Amino acid sequence: MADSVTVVLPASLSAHAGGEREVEVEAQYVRAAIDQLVTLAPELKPHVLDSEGALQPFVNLFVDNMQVHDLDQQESPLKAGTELLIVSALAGG
Amino acid sequence: MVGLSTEEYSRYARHLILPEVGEAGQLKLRESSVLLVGLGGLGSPIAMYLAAAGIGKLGLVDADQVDLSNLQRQIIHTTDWQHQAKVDSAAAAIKSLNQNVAIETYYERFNALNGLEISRDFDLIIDGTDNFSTRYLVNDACVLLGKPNCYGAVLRFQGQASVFNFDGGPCYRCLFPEPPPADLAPSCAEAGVLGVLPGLIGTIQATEAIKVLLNAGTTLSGRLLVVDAMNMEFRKLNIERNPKCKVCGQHRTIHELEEIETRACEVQPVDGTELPEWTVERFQQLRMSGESHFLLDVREAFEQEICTLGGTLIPLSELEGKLDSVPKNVPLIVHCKSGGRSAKAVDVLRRNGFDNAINLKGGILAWATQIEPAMSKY
Repeated sequence: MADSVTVVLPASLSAHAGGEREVEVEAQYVRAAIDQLVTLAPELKPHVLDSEGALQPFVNLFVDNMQVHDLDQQESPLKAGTELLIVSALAGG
Repeated sequence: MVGLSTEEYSRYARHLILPEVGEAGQLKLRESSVLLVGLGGLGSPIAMYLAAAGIGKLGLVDADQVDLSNLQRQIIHTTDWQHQAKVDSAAAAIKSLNQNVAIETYYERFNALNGLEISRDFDLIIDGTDNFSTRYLVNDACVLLGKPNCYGAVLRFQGQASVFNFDGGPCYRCLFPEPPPADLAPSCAEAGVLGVLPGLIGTIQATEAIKVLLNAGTTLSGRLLVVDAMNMEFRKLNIERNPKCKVCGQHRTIHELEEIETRACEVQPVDGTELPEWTVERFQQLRMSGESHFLLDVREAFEQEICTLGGTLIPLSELEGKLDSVPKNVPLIVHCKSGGRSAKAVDVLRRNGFDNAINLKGGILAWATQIEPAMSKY
């Protein structure tokens, strides 16, 4: 059964999600959470996923402060209330 | 090794009573050398705190000049230093703060040709740059030379900091294997940045640099600090080496410095579109770097007679018939009087496969106002 997960966006991407910094999705795995996110906010898609559905090389995902290496990992389901954090590369200085 | 002087005992008294620094640590800092790439928002507090802390030698790299719009955050520079090299402005401030610090200035862009040579003699490199291409160059130079990289980046109210290539931890490329393409990149000049934010992140970078040099405490190696100043949230995220990393992985493919073309922070989307745009300051930086580019002037001939930046003249109305004379292999900067016609020209060019086309924001009027006040305006 899918659980409620909070996807936390960086401020630089929130404009592509109607200004929201947090988006609630119902998902048991990271891939499902990201797929739901980009369905809810289609403008986010190119900022997170490439044309083949892989994570963009300038974006990282973190669950409970740990880096997600495999978008399709199935061995560690997301728990209810988990925060899935998106971190994108920043250039400013 | 010569011990601390009377002046140094006094100057560093608050360090000397810290058991984690003490006289041995202060001498270690005096024997240390740090290269600071970028003297902007991040570089300003970094340079001042490292100078105050008594780092023996500071290298300063920046090809830019002080602009009035910098002073909202770049606190090492002052109004009097407008239009002068940032490295000279920073060197003067550092000397005024602490005469003991030796300074080497590099009034040039950190690039694939000079990056390794500039970095070679320093113990540690600090990434205070404002564009992706230099960030990757700094990272790769650190990995190739085996030096720690104290990283920081900012945009709007968010910042990041880490220590890369240190203590077995990951490098910047492990975290972000490739920069975003220009049309997806967050923009600095358009997105803005809270002036104090680079102060916050830069101070963290300086703290980490001192800890690395003193071999003290727990650094941000293997962790990415993500700061949201608007909500004052600090997150420490665990990051790991990427075995497939192109520069530090098992089968690395990068063995020397290579330029990356994308310069996200300098490219700004035009309102509601994905057209990239540069400020006149950025264009001036490109010109000063000597990097190959093509400047296209889409005004009318009579306008070019009033004032010119030396670009090739193809009026907007004639552009679609003359695309063959425009190159695709170098940055293509397009300008008009104030940026409107050139935005349309960039749109035309991009629809015809010119992915290199960039609008000059504010046009030649912005250039005349901000860069070359003696230029005729109309």
